[in-house]
Amino acid sequence: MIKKTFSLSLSLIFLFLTACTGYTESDSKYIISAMGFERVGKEIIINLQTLSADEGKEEITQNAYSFSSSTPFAAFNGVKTKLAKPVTLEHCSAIILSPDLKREDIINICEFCKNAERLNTSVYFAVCKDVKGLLECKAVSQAAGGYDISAFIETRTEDTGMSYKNRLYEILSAKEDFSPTFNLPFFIVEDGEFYIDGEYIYKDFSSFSRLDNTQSLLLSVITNRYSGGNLYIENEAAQIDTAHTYFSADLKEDRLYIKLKTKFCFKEHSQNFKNIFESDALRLLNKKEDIYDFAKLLEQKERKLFEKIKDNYKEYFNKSIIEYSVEVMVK
Amino acid sequence: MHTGIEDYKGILLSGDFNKDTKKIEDILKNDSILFKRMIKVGHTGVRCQLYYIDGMVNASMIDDSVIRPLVSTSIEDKALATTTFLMSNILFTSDAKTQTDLGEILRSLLYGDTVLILENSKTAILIDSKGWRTRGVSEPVDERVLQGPREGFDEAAMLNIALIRRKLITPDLCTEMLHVGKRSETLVFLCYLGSLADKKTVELIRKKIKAIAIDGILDSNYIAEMIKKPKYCLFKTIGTTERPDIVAARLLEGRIAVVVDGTPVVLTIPYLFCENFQSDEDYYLNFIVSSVGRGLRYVCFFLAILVPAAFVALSVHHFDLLPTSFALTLTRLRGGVPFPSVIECLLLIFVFEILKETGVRMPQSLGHALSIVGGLVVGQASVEAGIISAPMLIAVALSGIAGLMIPRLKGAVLYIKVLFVIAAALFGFYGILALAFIMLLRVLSLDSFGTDYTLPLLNPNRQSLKDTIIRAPWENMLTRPAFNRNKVRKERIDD
Repeated sequence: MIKKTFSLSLSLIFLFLTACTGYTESDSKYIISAMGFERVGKEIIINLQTLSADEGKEEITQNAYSFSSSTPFAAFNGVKTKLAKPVTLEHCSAIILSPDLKREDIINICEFCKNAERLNTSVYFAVCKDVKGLLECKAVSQAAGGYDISAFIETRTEDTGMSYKNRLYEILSAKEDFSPTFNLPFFIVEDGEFYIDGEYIYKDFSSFSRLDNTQSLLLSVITNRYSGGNLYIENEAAQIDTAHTYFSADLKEDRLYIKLKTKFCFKEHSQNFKNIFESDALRLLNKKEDIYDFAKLLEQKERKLFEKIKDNYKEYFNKSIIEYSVEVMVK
Repeated sequence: MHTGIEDYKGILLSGDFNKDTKKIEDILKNDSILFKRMIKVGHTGVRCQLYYIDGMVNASMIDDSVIRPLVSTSIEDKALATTTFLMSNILFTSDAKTQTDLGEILRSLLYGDTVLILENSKTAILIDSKGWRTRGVSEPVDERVLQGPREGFDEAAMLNIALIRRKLITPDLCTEMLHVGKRSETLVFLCYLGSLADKKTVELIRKKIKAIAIDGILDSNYIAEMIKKPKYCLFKTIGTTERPDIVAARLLEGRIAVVVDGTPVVLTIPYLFCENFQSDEDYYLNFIVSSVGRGLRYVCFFLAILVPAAFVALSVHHFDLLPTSFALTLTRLRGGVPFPSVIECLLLIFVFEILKETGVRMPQSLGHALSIVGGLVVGQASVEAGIISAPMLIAVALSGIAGLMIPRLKGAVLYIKVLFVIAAALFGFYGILALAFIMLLRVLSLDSFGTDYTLPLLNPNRQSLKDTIIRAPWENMLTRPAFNRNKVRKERIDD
């Protein structure tokens, strides 16, 4: 029995030796709280916001480092050479993209994030023109500026009821879609402080459209990413319990008809809210930019119709007739 | 050269008074407390040599019941001065017997009996005159209860047997006496209920005890170590207790008790893994309270063995599994600690064990001061000096305190904890899982004298679990433990 136990133990030890990961103390590495990517000329610049426990100091120190190279992988490897301790991406909470990044850059960044060791797939993506400035902002409520960014996104989502499709796993899963679409909050940096001003829509990994805060809310309601709360549109306010938008489509005389109907369940609302919401939404819908990812909705709900038009979807969408109506119900 | 009683076994008294007394005196010539007195039986003129060991006998009882009747008897006929006549007509003692074997005579003499060698007789009279002082019945320090019986065993085996017997007034209680130890000739009693105990197990234990070859047995652990199988095992497969109520309860479950003279610790066999989590007073408190306590002990076992290891694994291998705020706090608090986490953890475990051991050995009044100095002053000062980090101190302290909940596993918990910490440091949670798997295999492969060590847990059924993870009401505990051949504890009485 002893021999059996001994041999089993030994074989298990050897088996698990293969899974032996590096022993690293928490204080002997740089914790990356946020990363940023921007393009300058032919090079990609990576910006890292790092946290480290320095000897003799009671607080954690926040620093920013950058490095430029041709690819995100090379830039990341380059910036590591500037640092005295190994880096860990385990607690990275935000990845900031510059709006100047090209489609290939974003695909490369996604690929880098997918393969980066121990990067959390729930990490938030956001857009900012001043990537470095945003990462250099000092922490206000959290331990590091990077965590402030993610906390800011979470608070915004909770307060307004709208949500973004901006987590790494959401972006990676969008890759499989017919027309990958995701929306990232847009940050503005002013005097060392930052705030969210609308969002950027990315379609097929390219910057597609920019929406202001109101448009962002409308889009959120239309695409059923709105969970209720206080909604403000042009000085009109409503306390919304639930909102759901119904989608239907038809192909008549080689023309795509899209019918949308949003049903609001209000707790309270001002007189003109319904009309203003309806007109503003319609204006946004008639821009004829498929920022709503209707293609995915069609694929899910009108499969046969989608199969017919998918090869020329863009043309069909541009010629489509969109009807939109709002129905309200006071609770 | 003669070394023990066994060497004199088979040597019979010759009947030559001078020769026999000289032989005894020669054997015990170096024993300065051997008391001998020559008296004559009444007016017969028959010599009678009295031997006893000073300090081990009740001297006044010998005076009143042995010497006085022998000297003051009125018999004159030499022919009446025989061992049989003296025992039945002269001596006032309740327990007296004759013996011809020199080995047995010596054994009785050295165990507090008084030996009478009569002129012209081939037999000696052995009179039970044991009268040494004992500590008395007191509450065992390590097995204190808030509610329930407070008596504990003493060092005298006879008294201990009496304490058990008082709780089990049944002719079914068997007590077998054995002598173990070549030089100590320690009395060992095998106690069991004849109708409940497994005969094969009784035979196995008897055989193993008889086979013990050692100079002396000074505590029951000597026997436990020598009859235990496997010998090198972290887990106890033989139970120990100092409480007669516990022994009685275990005998009622069909277990076997080994009472050793000279120690208050009684062994109980078989001993199952789940017994480590049972407390003495589980059966004296409300079953709900007891069940909660028992559940808590299982939780504490896992906390005790896994918390430091899990903490090491999380901080050096699986940093990503920690919530960010905690990861940052940990990083901040570890800043400047000179030792790697694993060394820090092992050092703290070591220090905690030192504190625990010194606390146990210290007088009670000093123990409190020690816990304050050790726990608060040293702990806090070490954290402030940056020698250790506060989270590690908390993890090790939590594990240590949780370990105190299961005193029956105190040795095993320490070794397992250290092994888990090393496994965690080398391989993270993979190492912990691998070691847990090995431990599980080890525990599952154990048996206590033919009974599966993990019995009720390994093959659970509704009845057996009623006294394992929980303590069900007595009303519902209808069967004895699964190892018992006579399972029915209580017939269900239909209303």
